[in-house]
Amino acid sequence: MLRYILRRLLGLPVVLLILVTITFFLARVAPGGPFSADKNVPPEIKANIEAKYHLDKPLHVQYGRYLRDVVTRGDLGPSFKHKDQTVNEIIERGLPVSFQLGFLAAIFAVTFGVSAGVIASIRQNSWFDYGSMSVAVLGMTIPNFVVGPILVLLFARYWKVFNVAGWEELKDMVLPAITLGLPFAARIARLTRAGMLEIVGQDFIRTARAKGLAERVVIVRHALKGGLLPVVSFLGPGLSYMMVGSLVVERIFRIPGLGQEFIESALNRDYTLVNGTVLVYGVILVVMNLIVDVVYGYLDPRIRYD
Amino acid sequence: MTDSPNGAASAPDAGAAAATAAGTVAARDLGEPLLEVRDLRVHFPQRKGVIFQSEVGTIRAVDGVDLTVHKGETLGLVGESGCGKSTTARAIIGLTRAPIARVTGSVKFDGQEILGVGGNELRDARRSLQMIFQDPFASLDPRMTVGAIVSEPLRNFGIARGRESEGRVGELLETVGLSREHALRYPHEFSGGQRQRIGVARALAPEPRMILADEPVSALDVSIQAQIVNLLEDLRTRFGLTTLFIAHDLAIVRHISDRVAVMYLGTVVEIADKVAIYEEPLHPYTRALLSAIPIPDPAVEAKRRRILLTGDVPSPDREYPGCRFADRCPLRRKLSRTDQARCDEEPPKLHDARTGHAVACHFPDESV
Amino acid sequence: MTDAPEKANAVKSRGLWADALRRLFKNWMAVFGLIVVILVSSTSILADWIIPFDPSYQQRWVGAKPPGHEQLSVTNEVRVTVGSETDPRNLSTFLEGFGPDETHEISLVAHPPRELEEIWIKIYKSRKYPDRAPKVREIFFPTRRETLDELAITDPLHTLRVTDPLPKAIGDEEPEPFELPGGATFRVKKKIDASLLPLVDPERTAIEWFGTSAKLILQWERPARSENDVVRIFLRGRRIEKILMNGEPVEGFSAPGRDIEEATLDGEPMVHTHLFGTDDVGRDVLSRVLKGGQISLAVGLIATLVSVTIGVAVGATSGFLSDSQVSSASMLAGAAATMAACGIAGVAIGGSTPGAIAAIVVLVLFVPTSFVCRGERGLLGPSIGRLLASPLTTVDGLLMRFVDIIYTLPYMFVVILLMVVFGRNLFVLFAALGAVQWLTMARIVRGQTLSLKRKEFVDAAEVSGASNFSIIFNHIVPNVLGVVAVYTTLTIPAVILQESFLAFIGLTVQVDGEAVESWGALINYGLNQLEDGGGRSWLLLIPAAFMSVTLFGLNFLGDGLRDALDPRMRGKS
Ligand SMILES: Nc1ncnc2c1ncn2[C@@H]1O[C@H](COP(=O)(O)OP(=O)(O)O)[C@@H](O)[C@H]1O
Ligand code: SF4
Ligand SMILES: [Mg+2]
Repeated sequence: MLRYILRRLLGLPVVLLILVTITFFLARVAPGGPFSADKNVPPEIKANIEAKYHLDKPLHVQYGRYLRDVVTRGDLGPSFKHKDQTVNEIIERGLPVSFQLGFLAAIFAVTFGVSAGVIASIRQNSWFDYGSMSVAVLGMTIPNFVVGPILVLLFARYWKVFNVAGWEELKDMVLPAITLGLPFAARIARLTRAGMLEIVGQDFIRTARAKGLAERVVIVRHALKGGLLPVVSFLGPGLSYMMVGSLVVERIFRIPGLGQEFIESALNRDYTLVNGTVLVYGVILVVMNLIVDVVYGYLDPRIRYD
Repeated sequence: MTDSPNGAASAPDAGAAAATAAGTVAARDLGEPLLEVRDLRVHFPQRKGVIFQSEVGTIRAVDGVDLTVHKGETLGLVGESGCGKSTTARAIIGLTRAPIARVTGSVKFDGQEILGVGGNELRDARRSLQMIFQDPFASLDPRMTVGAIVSEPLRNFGIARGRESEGRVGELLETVGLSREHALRYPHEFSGGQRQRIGVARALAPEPRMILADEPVSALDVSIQAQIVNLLEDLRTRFGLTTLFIAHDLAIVRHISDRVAVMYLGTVVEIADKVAIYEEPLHPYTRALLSAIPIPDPAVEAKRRRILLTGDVPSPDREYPGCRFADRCPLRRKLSRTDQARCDEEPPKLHDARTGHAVACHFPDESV
Repeated sequence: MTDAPEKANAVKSRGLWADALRRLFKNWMAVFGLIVVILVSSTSILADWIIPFDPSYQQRWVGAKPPGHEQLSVTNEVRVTVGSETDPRNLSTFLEGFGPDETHEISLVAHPPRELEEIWIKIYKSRKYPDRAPKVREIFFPTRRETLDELAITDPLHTLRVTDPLPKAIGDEEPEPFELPGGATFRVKKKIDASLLPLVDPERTAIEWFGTSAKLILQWERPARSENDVVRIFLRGRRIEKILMNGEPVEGFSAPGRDIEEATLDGEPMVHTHLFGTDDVGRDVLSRVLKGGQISLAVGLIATLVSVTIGVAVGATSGFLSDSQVSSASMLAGAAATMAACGIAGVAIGGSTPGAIAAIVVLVLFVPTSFVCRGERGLLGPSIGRLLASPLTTVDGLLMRFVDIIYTLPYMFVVILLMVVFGRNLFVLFAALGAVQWLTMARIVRGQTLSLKRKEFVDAAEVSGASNFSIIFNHIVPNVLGVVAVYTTLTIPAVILQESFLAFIGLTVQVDGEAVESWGALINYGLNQLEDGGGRSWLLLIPAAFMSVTLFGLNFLGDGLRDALDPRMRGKS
């Protein structure tokens, strides 16, 4: 296991190097160049800008400097479009917000998903089972850029229980967390239900029951650990879905997070910012996936990594 | 040595039964060989790794098989499941090849080497050498009509097209006991037995001289097995077909074969005339297999002594310095220490222990 | 000789597909999905003919109106007689509404006389048809009629500036006598439904705009039946002084104090219903949603079709030719093709030619060689194949890792990156969506092929003398078509979703410099139009409902197909 983790960690720089390289060159081959939007920039200003971003140097020198800055100082360079701001500053501002959002959404998804799944599996074929599973299907099919606006319409515009936009108080955070968490809650509920039903049918649970253990103990102590395995394996891909989802959610609720910055930079063609955000997303994904794999290996002794 | 057809003089110490067997062989002229398999080996290398592939082992599914099938005869090939029967048949007809498999040895069909050839040569060979597959459900393309399935060889070998082909398909279906109208149906509308008939019709379509039947009835209900076996016997006499009939137990083979070869772990351990195999099995493995067949006569059945094989069927992924059967052999346990050592160290060759009766055991004359 | 009862004789022979269809029709969810899909796709295909309004046509004077809003419409020419209290500045606003239509020839009649310093008449220049802007033909003053030349108007398309002081006196003279031409009927009632007649600002009445003594003369030409003949003028609470048609006054409207109740022209109603309301600039929501659906579905279909065609061909070939399970030629092909797609997109935009050429070279060289050289089963034969196989397997493996790394990132990020770099045109969208979808398709088909390849019927076909080509196209492809069908119906909603996702976050595709507004863009627009208290909710709910129902339909259909084609279900009913 340790060897596996080490090997994955060793592979990490390679992955990131490739990611940096791809994004860097992709931005440079873009037709028109980064400043094509500023059509009537005076030549001397343009020269300044080019010097500042080393655009006057050959491509490989630019790449070398960019790489050196990223590796040695974690410096992602200045933003192309936000004057006087570095990519690092922008990311430092946005990332915590996105993390909070993701964290809240994950809490919502796991608590709701797992409890709904467990209850549905205990009361198999009850109205709760059918109801929650139908809602789950809906939650997985309706995209969050439909769910979010409808929640805004109902709870922020019509009933005014929550706020329409922003990220300061709790009233700002409820709707975004639900919007982002809903598809995962749905998927987790289904996975939990299926996993629990499978486990509950197995011998050791029947043994535990036969020993006269209380149903609650059986569920919590024995069934849950096995029943949640599929949920854990879903967390890996779920994470990347959540990142994509947070792009939309941050846009719906005008949350000043990393996703919003990414979209803005994409729309403005702010190349350094795009590269920086993509890189950060890449790091988060790779690290989180590793963690999920390790946790999975810990939970399921049948899995052997080598 | 191999099972030389016109075998050298039988050993002088042959028993009475052996003499009878040899006599039978002598009485029936075996004729010219149609298929000669010499030292056929099919090894499946096991690879690992994505970028730099390395070999981690080899499965020796077939490891030195010698067989001869004579014109017009039916040779039964028997052995436990996994001993390499299918692989042998598939190698003969050119379905195993590099890089999945390493195939060596020689397969002569009608005097022509067909192992390792490709393109037109292989196609020509397959026109006269066809195969019936074990699984009647997997061997028919579910998206094709029966007519299309049976006419495929006709089209591919350029035998018949259009109306003519339709007519041929009809004839073929009737030959195997189906009706012309079935040509328009799909395989899933048929029972297992009917499907196997379709497979037989397809194999007959190019009018082959020889058919490899790979456990054609194993997947069928016992009640239907006899019908298919009868059909095959029928066709054999009608068209003068040469057949390699593969089965995993000796009971079915007894009915249809002229001679029988017994396989164990990738090699042929005994090959002889049917009567000789059933009356006087020489290899301990064959004896064990035979002892497992129930005998219809209750009196005899009561006296039947079962030889139980101990241990698991070993896997073909390693080499054997001596006899492959050694660790399960009931005879070896009764041998002296030096004889046992011989079993363990020297691989027994397939040699004629009696006239036309070859066996791969150092001690064919010891009884268990 | 037969070993089973001839049950097959009684039953009519059915192919597997027919069987699957029969099962599909028993699944009511799938049938619902099918119906939705048929409805949505047919309305989208026919959108250009059935939508009542040009989706980008603005009626600013209408503003946002809820579903079911009825709008009185009058075509073509309008003649306005302005009362003495009319504020000329309002006139300009009013005329703005006549808008983007060349068929409008506006005549302005100032009545009664009044001293005006200047009148600004702004005429909206159509964005959609810049060269077909409305023209002001002439301006009537009660005492004289002036043409544009006489008024020294320099830019008739944009601003009409009238500085000439109006004459002091005016008689009650009517320019033409009234006659009723055939075909036009108006019924009159005491009080007109105010909602039928909004003008500029729905809160204000027209009386305010034109003063208490305002009189209107409505006049129109026989409408030319084109997309532009849609009704343009809308009256509210005003007395109709006179109605002219084709220059002829319409009888029965000379009496003041009557209001229009219902107007028909040649039997066709002149009240148009906005079934799903209008947005804040008065665009018809139904038209916009249908047009948006057309775009969404077109993107979904084209990207899917591209990905399916390439995916099946590449997947089946590579699966059949590939020897080991791990090395995957489709990945190689996928990497090359992604690069090529980007490169071609680069060319399409006119930049980065070398990059594009490099990408195409990669595609042209690598993909075929990877198939041709793969081992002994490749098309080059054993000896060359063996020689090339090992370095190629290595390259294949390396590229596979490379692609894996790119796809470490969520796929939408890749698409966004591509759209940022290569611009927001339709081609890039297809290339970006199609390239990735195609990879998935190729993977699936490849996996299927690998397992099919081991089926005995493939061996049987080979023994029957079939060539590799014949095996792939007669046996493998028909057998993977089931999976392909299922995956295709599931890919379409996925692509629709992805395109709408992009549109929602603002990456709308642009065609001819104009943003193409698919459902995602409409939903985003609706979200931004929401008012406190839930006002204007239809702008959000209607596109959202269309989109959700379509996605449901396609997903149900896909699931139904999968169940129907599931081999385990085969033979059961
Ligand atoms: N393509 C293959 N790759 C690896 N091993 C194989 C392959 N085909 C067959 N084998 C192995 O070869 C042995 C013989 O198989 P087979 O010829 O099918 O046996 P039989 O037909 O006698 O039951 C088995 O152990 C099987 O696992
Ligand atoms: S050689 Fe020895 S081990 Fe092998 S079969 Fe004969 S007696 Fe048994
Ligand atoms: Mg077999």
